[in-house]
Amino acid sequence: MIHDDNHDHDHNAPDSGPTLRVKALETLLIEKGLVDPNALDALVDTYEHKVGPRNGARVVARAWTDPAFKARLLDDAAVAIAEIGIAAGPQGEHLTVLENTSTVHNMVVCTLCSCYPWPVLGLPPVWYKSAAYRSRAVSDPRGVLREFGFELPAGVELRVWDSSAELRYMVLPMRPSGTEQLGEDELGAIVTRDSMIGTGVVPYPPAEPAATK
Amino acid sequence: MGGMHGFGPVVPERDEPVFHAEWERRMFAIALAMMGRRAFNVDEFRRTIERMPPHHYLAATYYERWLYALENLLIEKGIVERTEIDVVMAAVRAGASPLRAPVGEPDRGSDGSDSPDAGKAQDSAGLSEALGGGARSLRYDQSYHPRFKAGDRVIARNMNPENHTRIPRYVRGHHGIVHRDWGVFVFPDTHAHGLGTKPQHCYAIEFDAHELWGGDHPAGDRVYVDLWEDYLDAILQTTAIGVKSRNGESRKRLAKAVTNARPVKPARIRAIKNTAPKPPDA
Amino acid sequence: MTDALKPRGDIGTLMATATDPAGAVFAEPWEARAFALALTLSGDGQFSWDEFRERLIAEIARADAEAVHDHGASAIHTDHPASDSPRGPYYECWLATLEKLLREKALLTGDEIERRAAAIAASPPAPTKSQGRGPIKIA
Repeated sequence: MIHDDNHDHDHNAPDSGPTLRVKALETLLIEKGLVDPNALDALVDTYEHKVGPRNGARVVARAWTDPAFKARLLDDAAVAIAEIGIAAGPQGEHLTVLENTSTVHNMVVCTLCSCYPWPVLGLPPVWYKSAAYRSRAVSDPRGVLREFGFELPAGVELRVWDSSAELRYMVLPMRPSGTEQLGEDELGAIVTRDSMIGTGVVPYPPAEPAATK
Repeated sequence: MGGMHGFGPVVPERDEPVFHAEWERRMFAIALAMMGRRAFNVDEFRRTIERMPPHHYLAATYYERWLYALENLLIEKGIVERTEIDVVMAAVRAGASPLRAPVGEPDRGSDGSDSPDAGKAQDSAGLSEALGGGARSLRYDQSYHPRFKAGDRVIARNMNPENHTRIPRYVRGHHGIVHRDWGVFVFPDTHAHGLGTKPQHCYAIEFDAHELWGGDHPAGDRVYVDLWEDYLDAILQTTAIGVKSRNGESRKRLAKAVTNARPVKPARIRAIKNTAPKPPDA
Repeated sequence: MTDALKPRGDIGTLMATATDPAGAVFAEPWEARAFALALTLSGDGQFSWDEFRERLIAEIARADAEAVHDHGASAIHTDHPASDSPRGPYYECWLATLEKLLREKALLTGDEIERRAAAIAASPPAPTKSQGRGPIKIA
């Protein structure tokens, strides 16, 4: 994994500004008993390895194969995901799932900062937090989609959701055609992270190994 | 179900079942305590057990039937909601102790792979977070009366950006339609500055892309922004109020009818609007 | 991905600069620690998440305004190459927010942060040991 390589950087080099700053904060807070270093480690581990788009992919696959679950998901997502073992947790208390159809395509942004449905998608990708995405997702969403390689037909209504308050949004992408014979696990494996943000659709056959953890 | 030992009265009788596990003892005690508190009576308890689906009933042990009755009666009586139990179960199934809930972890076996200290990390998430804490019960609190409902036309106020950071600049002064009332939430503009929680309704407001940006956005393209009630003004529906030609009187009626109206400022042309350079051809 | 599907333009550039197609969660170890510090402290009630988010929004707005001031309006549309890094100033904003709040809540003073940072900078780095497979640590 890329991170292990990063750890092998030259330890004799001076720390970068932010590294120094964070070290200072962390060591002081630990010394004062204000944070528990094991708690920090566990949180990092959780968001590095345990929480990610695989969760959302499972939700999507279940919704595609179980209409009653889908109905519950669209009604109260925070509770529905608990059915398949995903606890709501931070940034998931007010989760809402937006269904893509042949006439409506949903796309999610946080223009103010980076709000994102952590429990189902993990932490947001770099581009989601960029000034470019934050400004153009609302002002030129079709242009943004084009940059993701996706041309939305003019007849499809594009709805962009700005997570400015407490609601966190996940897109339920359309099930691609040709997947009728796939089981739930196989379906989960083809769902891409970007399709659950709304900057793409689920390709089938998969364009590349699905970009999810 | 004739001939079964059945439920029997609360008072232990001669063929009282043996407790095979500690949880069964606790179940017995809890059920008795709730009956003592008149949460439900023994008839309701017995009838609930009898409502178990036959295959479930036959497969269940004696106290598993008690568990079924207890859970369903608590829900029917409105003491807990099924969804609350579901969420807690998800957390527990994912390896949490009753006081700790992993953050968004998928289902896995209880192999105890988390070190005790790792559990501490999840205290930050905690069970209260798993349930959405007080946030969820506030959200559905009926005592906060909403000023708007779905379909209402509203205008996003022009507000001082220093103190009102959750109303994005691009919607200020623009018209929209209430798409949905999300319920009651703490108001960050006050809460984030120690000025109180000021709970109020928060709405998804639907803005037409053309209204926001002009230009050639396809009709039907929309931007939805979640805005607290304090960010919104009603748009005067003159036809509904029936303003007539006598200016003085009608102005007074308008003033009375719309208590929160602010003068509508024309939307400023923002410097950034539509100046996005075309992406270079790759 | 076929060429027809390759992301282009400014957002495409951002995507292409990510070292891992799936997107590394934290580009630098310090980002991970800063993230965890904010969550832990907030979870323990040292400050509310509303307070953190409010100030984060303000920091990001400041960073956006600086970029526009320095490089023109196109800066925030293209994440101008001269800005901090291809990954943008997001976690710098996060760190600034965290430090501000810690000082505001009098959990740490500006003085002691400066002194500690200077001390760490001045002391020779500890002999390295293999990081192994554990979570990212920097302290």
